[in-house]
Amino acid sequence: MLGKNAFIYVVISIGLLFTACNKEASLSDDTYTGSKVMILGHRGMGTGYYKPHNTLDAILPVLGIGADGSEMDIQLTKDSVLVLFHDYNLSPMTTCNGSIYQQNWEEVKQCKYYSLHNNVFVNSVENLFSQIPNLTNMYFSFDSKIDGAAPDFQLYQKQFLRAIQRLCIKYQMSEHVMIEGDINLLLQAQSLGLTNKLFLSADLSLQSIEDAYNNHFAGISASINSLGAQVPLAHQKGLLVMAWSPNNYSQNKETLSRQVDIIQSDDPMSLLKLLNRYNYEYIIP
Amino acid sequence: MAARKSIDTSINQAIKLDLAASYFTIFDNRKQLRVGLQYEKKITQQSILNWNIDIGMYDHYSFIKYYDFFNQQQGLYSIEQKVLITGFHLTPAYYTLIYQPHWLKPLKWFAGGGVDLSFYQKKINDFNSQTNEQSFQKIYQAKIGMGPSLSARYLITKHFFVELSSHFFMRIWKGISEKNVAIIQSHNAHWTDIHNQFWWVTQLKIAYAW
Repeated sequence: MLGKNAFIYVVISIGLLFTACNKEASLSDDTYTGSKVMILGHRGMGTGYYKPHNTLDAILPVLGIGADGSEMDIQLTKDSVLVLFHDYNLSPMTTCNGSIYQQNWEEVKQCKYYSLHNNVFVNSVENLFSQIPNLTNMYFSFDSKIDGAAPDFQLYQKQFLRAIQRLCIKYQMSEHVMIEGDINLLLQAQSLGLTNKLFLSADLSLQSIEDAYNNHFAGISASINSLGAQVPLAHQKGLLVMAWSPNNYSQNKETLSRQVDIIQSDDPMSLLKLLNRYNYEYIIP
Repeated sequence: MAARKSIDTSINQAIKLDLAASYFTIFDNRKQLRVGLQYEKKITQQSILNWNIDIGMYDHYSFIKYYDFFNQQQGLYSIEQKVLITGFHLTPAYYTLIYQPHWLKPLKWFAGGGVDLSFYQKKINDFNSQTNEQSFQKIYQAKIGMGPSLSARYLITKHFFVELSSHFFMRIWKGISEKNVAIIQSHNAHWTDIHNQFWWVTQLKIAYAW
């Protein structure tokens, strides 16, 4: 009786194994337009990474393991230096206080992250770009964190965009830096002559598709939870869909199956491995 | 005290099979096929010598990198790299008994040191989809590492025991057939530092002793 049961278990296990293999084989990184999905790390190696996000320590490894680039949160200092930081206030995450827009780069660069790893400081985007070999093979999505509390918001927004423009020209990265933001920021970017691909940060809906289409934006940046059934419609309108941020293996697979164009993943390792796009030769520091 | 440290005299020699040989590729999209065998011989009542061989296909994978995602003229292109690494590790090691709890006689702890002599052959096949160019490269690498080892074993019966051993190696010499290529990391290791200067090998073995 035991032998018969064991035989049944073996048959079922082999069946499941083949089913799983078939499922893997059906996964594709093709996009609607016949291109390949671009894989970006979310804030570097993802929010689950053990080192602070939006730092060199988190972004350089994701480029090393084979990602096409990284999403990063960008803010502007008082003296127009673009820095990598998510929150509007420095105090919960670092040794400093206050907003970034109120301080000069000389002050901000002293801000040290509260981290188990020593000497992780707030970085400037320029510092990051200067340390990446073959920079122009990489892609970055700038999530614009423009502090609404800034006194002259319109001026601050312009300075922010001009700083991006200067940086992109200096490093020949206009084609490789995408800008995510609300409709006002993106229209301002167009009026200033930025040639970067502009992505409307919004839920993927009929309204956001219309807004992006009517304003000639490159696409829409949306949470995976808001993709709904609108991805094909966005594609039909010629818009790219950037999805953020699946944070595990199954969410990566689910996002891939939606045929989006760009994925900002919180688990880039499993996504890259799934698609044979992981660089096994790179050792994560 | 002397009774506590005595090795079971019935074990003069043993043959061991490494059960953990392929564990770290389970969650990766790559293939590894290798076997680890070990021969042990008692030298004195409290010391033993081990000869370990680990041999096989250490790595087989594809790595595709895409470029020019937004190129309106030519479209994107890719460079696909197919990598195959085969080779072996020879690891002689010397151990001495350091602890045998009197309340659990079948358990024995050993400490010692070993040498890791490895040889790898790496074949790399590159294909550039833009130029349709294919290139092939073969790299040979020999490496020697030395370091301390720690091992614990539990005798299940008179003739069978399980053993967990851990070796920490430091590179003392390497030779690579090609210039300007990265050193191949130790594929029998579950940890390697970023400069491939140190590596850590852990083995879980089942042994037949006589």
